[in-house]
Amino acid sequence: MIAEKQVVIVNTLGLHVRPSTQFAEIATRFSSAVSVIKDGQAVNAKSSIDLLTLAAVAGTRLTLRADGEDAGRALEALTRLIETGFGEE
Amino acid sequence: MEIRRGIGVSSGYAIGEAYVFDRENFRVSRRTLAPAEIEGEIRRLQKASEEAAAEIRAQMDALPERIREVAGSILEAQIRMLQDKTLLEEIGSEIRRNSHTADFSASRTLKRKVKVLEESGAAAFAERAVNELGAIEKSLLRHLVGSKKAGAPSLKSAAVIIAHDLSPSQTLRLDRKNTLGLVIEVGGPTSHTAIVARSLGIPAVVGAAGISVDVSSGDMVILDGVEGKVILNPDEATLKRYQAMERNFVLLERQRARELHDLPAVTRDGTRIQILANIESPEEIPVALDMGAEGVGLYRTEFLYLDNNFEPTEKEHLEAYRRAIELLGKRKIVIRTMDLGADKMPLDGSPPEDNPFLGTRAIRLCFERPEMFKAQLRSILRVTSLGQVGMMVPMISSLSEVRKVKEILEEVRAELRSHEEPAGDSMELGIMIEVPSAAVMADILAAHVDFLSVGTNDLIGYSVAVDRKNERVAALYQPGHPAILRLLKQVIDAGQKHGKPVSVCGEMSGDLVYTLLLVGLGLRTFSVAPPAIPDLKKLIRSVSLEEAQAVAARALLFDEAEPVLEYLKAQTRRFLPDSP
Repeated sequence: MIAEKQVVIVNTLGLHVRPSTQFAEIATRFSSAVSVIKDGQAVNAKSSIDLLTLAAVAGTRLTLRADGEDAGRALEALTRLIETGFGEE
Repeated sequence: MEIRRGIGVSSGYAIGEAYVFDRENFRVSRRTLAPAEIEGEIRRLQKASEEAAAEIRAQMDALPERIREVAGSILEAQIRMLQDKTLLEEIGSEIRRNSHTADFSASRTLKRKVKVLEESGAAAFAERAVNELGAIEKSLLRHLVGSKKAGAPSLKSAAVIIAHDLSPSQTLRLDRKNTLGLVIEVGGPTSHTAIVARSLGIPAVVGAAGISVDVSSGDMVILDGVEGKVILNPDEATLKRYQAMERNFVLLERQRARELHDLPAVTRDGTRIQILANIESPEEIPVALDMGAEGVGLYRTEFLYLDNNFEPTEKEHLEAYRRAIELLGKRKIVIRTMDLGADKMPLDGSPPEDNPFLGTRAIRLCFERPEMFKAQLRSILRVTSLGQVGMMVPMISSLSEVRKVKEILEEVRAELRSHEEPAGDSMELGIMIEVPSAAVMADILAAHVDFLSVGTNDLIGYSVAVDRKNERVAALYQPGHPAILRLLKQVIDAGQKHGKPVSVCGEMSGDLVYTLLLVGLGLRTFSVAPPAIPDLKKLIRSVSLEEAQAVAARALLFDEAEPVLEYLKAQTRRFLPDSP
């Protein structure tokens, strides 16, 4: 099953070092393949380094795409992480 | 083939393999692996990633708890990145695909990511993220190849050095035989690297942003120091064209030097100008003489300190000075006492200063360490009788410092006399004028010394408060600034008033744009990087003193640097049509 979701980065630092690792860590908990797409550039959500190269600053629109049995749950968890600003503030 | 733009700061061409010098100098090997080695390389990568992560974890555990709470999450993030599976797989497939070593592949993969970030347009975000990736790369490389602590590029064969930046001491310690050229990512025409490259006659391009990421050691590159270009992996036709240009360039240089070699630097109406060379090591003297130098106006002795663990013995001082005098015969030499500190500070264990350019530099360091200073003074005094030796002291900012130098000098002389050794009574003592307060007080200082030598680089930097290595403000560093022209006039006038010779040994004296101005202001001694001598002579020989004086008088009337520069450039072209 494939699921997709649009999100906007709300935390001030954007998808920086700590947020990227948090994000990758959560993505890794799911068996689905998860990618994050910014302006057509897609990276593996389970790689913090690749997430970092997106340079997703605050306000960036991203598409999350998951493919696998737990795709829906994966997107739900990752969206929540982004929307709560990675607990940054 | 790819062409990169930079600023040509030392002309000439260099064609050869690149040697990419990382700030931490990891000896990354580009060797092609045998098929049987591939799996071993991948295991090596795994192991390095584990070791690097363990190292950071150990660091983290060693932190006091309160600090760990704050810094811990960043270190934790680093550990995760070092163990990023996608990254390790990507490096692994690079090892397999290209049969390259783990270190080379890791470095290449991470540099590719750095490039993506740099092109993202989110500058502030990218800068921090790039630092993070740099730390990851270093940490992996440290475990793959280990870091070399030597601190300067060491070359086994001839190569074009490519680096983000080189410190002056690294540049000074370059292996001249094997350094074909230098490409630096930062800096401008007046950066130290540029100066040293020019004085060594090594072609150089600075300001070639991002190049160390795109070039790997072993890549073929062409450095065009005339046009400020670097050509990566040139095609056959380009390579042939440049090889021909390089041959012509060398021939022309030699021919030019030969033509002018035996002709004195004298204006059309007979004013004699003395042209001396700036050197860093006695080994440069033969080249300087070939270029037409009449002697040495600035012997920078820092090399002696850098080469001898920062405390050269008297024997090492003496050997170097004797060698220089021997090579010069009866010609003049001015030895400048140690000018370490600021950006040339040796790692002698003293804590870093917040503001080293305004800190314990040069003579200030010598006063702090009188025994070290005396060893150098004693050595200079002892060789004085062998030739025509002068000594000058850098970074003088007040008369009391001049008095103090003289006192110490007298103490050393008294010691020498008590041992019935020659005490160098004929030695001329000069000071560098490079601190604005000394320039302003030149008419007082001149009465107390035998000569003045203007170090324009620092004088300009301190006057306009610009660190010329800082690209963001480098454009404010303007030798043509009216304030600098006034200071120069003041110093030259002060020398004339007291009958004390004045020379200029900074970059400005080798830059043809300022030659007419300096001659017109009354300067009679130029001390320059040897490769600049033939053109300087040619220009001086094509102008009359009256014409130079008119140029200087006019230049002093402008109220901004830009029109001064424009005017001087136009005048230089008038007398030397083929000048740049």
